[in-house]
Amino acid sequence: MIEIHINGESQQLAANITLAEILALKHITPQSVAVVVNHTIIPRSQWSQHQCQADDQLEFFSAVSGG
Amino acid sequence: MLTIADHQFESRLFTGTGKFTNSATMLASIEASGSQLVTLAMKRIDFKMGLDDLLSPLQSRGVKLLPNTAGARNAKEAIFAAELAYQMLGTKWIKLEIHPDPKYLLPDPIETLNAAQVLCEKGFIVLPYIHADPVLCRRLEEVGCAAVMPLGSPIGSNQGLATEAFLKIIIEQSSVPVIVDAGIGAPSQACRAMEMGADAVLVNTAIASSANPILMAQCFQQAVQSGRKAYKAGLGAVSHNANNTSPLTGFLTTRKVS
Repeated sequence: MIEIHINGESQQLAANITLAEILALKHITPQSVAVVVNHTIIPRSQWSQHQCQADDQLEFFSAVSGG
Repeated sequence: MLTIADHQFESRLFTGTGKFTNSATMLASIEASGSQLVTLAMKRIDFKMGLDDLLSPLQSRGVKLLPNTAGARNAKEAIFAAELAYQMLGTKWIKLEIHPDPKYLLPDPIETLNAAQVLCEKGFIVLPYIHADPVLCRRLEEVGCAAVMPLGSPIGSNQGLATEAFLKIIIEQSSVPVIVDAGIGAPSQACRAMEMGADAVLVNTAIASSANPILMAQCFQQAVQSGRKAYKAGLGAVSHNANNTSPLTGFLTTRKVS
């Protein structure tokens, strides 16, 4: 297990877990989200390959209503 | 037909998706407004709250999405937000808004111009939200913005076209579409902007904060259509003195009344 920070909250997750697996774990449909790892935007095409490392800072964003 | 970048719009009323009491009212209001371009914001997901599926009902209605960079305080953050929106929504259209001051939400012109230049070079279709500054509008046009979005009055204030004199200059000088954004509080004000020759208006708060948003959305649609037609027809000249519309031949005064 490794510690990963997701939107500011620490979580213990399996080592080498991918971004796609985290999205599935969180029940997030991937169509409308963006993922940032350690301040770098990770393109959608890389989510299933991108493996997380201990202490990674992950940020998940979604579209919300706005003007 | 209004063309922005390579996209054509039949409706010249653009709408926001914020401040509605629920998403059903928001969707029904957008439908009633006839809007074909709607703005969206972005936010960190709150996993406890879950995800509100905002996108699929909008996409199924065929409206074009215009994500904004609200929350960005400088050019660097706004560029990051635009890249984020591209990854999230697959669109290079971006409403560039940089307002570091939370009280009046007035846009920072220097950061906006810097961000616009970078984003245009990266191939984004940039629609910058700015003060009604004709000089800035020209500079934004020069760096490649697809349109300009000068404010009528502060965001969400419903104060109307406080910047009218400057909007007129922008409309006169601009060779890209001018979308009057922010502050339009009543259909009459949207109509006025269109009569002046604005290419479109963007309305959110005035519809969302109405007691009957769906009906108000219809009112805005009609006001925008009417204002556009009036602009095309050409308004009559304004004069200080009265000009009679009926012949003053004096038929009453020459007649003896018995």
